[in-house]
Amino acid sequence: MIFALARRNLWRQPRRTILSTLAIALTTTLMVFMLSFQFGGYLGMIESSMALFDGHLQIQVKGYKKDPSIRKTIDNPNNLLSKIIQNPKVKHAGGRANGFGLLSSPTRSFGAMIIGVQPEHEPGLSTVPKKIVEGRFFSQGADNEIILGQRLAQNLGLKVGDAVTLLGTGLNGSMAVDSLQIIGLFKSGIPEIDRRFAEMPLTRFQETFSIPDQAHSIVLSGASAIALQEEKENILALLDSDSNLVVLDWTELQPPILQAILLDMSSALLIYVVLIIVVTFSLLNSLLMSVLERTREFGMLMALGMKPAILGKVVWVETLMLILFGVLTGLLFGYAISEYYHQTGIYFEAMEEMMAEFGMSGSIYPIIHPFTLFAGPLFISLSIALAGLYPILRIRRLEPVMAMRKI
Amino acid sequence: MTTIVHCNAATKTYGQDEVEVHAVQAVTVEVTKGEFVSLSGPSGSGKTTLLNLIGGLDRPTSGEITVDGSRVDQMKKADLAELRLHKIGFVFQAYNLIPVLSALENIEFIMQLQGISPDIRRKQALSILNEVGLEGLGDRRPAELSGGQQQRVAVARAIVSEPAIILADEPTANLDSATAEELLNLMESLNRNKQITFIVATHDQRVIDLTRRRIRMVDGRIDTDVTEAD
Repeated sequence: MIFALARRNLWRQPRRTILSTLAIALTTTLMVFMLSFQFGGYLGMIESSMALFDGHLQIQVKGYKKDPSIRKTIDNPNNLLSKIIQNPKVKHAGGRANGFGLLSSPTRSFGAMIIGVQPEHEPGLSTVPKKIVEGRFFSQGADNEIILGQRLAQNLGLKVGDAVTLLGTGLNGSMAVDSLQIIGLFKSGIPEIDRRFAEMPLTRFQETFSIPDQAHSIVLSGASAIALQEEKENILALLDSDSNLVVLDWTELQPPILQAILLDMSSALLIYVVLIIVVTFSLLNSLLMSVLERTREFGMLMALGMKPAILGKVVWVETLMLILFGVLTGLLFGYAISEYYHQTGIYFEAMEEMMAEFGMSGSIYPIIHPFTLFAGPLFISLSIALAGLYPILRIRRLEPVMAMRKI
Repeated sequence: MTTIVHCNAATKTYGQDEVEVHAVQAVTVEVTKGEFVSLSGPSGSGKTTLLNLIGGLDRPTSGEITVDGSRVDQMKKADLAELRLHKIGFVFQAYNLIPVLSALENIEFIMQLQGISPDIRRKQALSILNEVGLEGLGDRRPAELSGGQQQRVAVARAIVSEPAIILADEPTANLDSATAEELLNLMESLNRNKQITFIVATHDQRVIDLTRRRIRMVDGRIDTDVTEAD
C-alpha cells in the first residue's frame, strides 16, 4: 500500500517529479564525472611523476630520503632484488645509487645529480630510456658510458660521442673521478631534470664512488603506484627485520604531489558541498510543497485512522523513489561520459606546460573506480534523504481537524 | 440497548480568557446501537465540533466521551487513530476520497490499514460497491465519478469495515436533490437492514425528516432532542 500510494502520488504532478528527478540526475552526473576526472588527473599526475625516476616503491636505508648521504647504502642489492622479485605484484626491480658530481667539458663545468642504474632493469622502472632524443640508452654490460639531460649537454657544449669528466666525492671522502662517453641525451620535459641529471651504469658508479656492491635504493614498479602502495607491508615483510631498511611509497617519495592533491581535493570538496546543498534545498522546496498542498488530504487520511507514522512512510518512500530514479539516471550518464573520456582522454592545450612540470601529457583520462562512481551519488542520496525528514516531521505534528481545514 | 456513544458534560472551548469561544457546552447525550440521529442547528451551533469530539478528531476541554466502551477524551494520538480505524466510519461533505486510488481501492483502503488479507478485502469491497449501486465503476478514479457517486464511495468506505458508528458531516451539502435523496435512501436502508448507527450533522431538512432521532443544537448546547416513535 505504501509503495502503491507513493508511486501514484509522484505522478500526480508529473512535471514536478520529472524536474526533481532531472535535478538529482544532473547533479549526480556532474559529480560522477567530476570525481572520475579529478581522480583520473591525480592518478595521471602520480604515475607520470613516479614513472620518470622514482618508480612505484623504493627500499632505502632509514633516513636516506631526508639526508641522502653516500654512506647510507644497501649492501649486496642483488641479493635483496632476488627476494623482492618473488612478490607477484612487483613487475620490475632494480638497484640505484645516487651521487653529486661536477661534470666538465673542455670549456665548461656544471654540477649534476649522477644516478647509477642497472641497464637490464631500468627500462621497467623509469621512462628515461624512452625519452632519449639523441643516441641510445645503455645496453647490458655497459661500462664507461653516461647519458645526460639534453639541456645539461647543451650547457656543457657536448654532444653524443663526446667524453665528459666526472669529479665527485666518494665514500669516506675519497675522490670520485672518471671519464665517460656520452651515448645518449634525454629530454624529460621537466627543465630542472633536463639540466641537472645524468645516468651511468651502476657497476661503474660503484667503482667510481667507491661503494662496491652497494646501492642507495632498490626501485620497484608494479601495475600502478596505488597498487604497489597496498603491497608495501608484504614487501616490508620480505626484508630482514634488523636490516634498518624502509619501504617508501609515492606519498613519501614525492610529498609535493600528495600536497598538491590534498590542496586540490579541499577546493574541489567545497564545490561538491555547494553543489549538494543547492540540489538538496531545491529538492526540499519541492518535497515541502508536495506535502503542504496535501495537508487537507493528510488530515482526511488521519481521520480515517491512518497513523502519522504510516503517512510519513508514504512521503519518505516518495522521496526515496525520487532519489533512486534521479541517482540511477545520473549514475548511468555519469558513467557513460566518464567511460567515453576514459578512452579518449580530455586534452587541455592551455595547461600542457603546467602539466609537464608534473611529468604529465596535456591529456587527462578520467578513471572509473567504485569511489568515483558511488561516492557522489551516496552523498547526494544521503543529503536529500535527510532533508526529506523535515516534511515528515511536519506531518507528524499534524492534527486531523486542523489539517482538514487547510485549503 | 447497547450504548455506542456517551457524552457526559462534554465541553469544547477555543481560545483563552476574554476571547474564549464555547463551541460545545456541557453536552450530555447518549446514542444507542442502530439509532439514526441527526444533529441540526444554525451555523456555529457546535454540531460539527460535537461530531469531531465523538470521532476523536478533536479533544474536549472538559467532560467525558465514550465510544463503544472506550474513553475517547483520555486516549493518546495513536490510540485514537486505532479507534477511528476500527470503530468509526466518516462521511465528509467534500467526499474526501484519495484521488490517486480507484473507487474500489478507496473502499479497500480502510481494510488494508486494518491488515485484512487482499482476497478478503477485495471480495468485501466488491460486495459493498454493488450494495451502494456502483457496480462496474470500481476501476474509476474519484475525478472520473460524479459528486453523488463519490459520496456513495465515501459511504461504502465508511461501512465496509463494519464500524460501531458512522459520523457524517453535511453529507448531502454538495449534492443535487435527486442525488441527495438517493444517498439518504442508501443510508436509511443501511441503518434499517444492517443496524448501522448513524450520527449526521446537517442543515438539510430532508435528512432531518428522515432520521428517527433529531437533536437540535443552539450555541453549543442541546436545544431539543426528539425521538420519533416507530
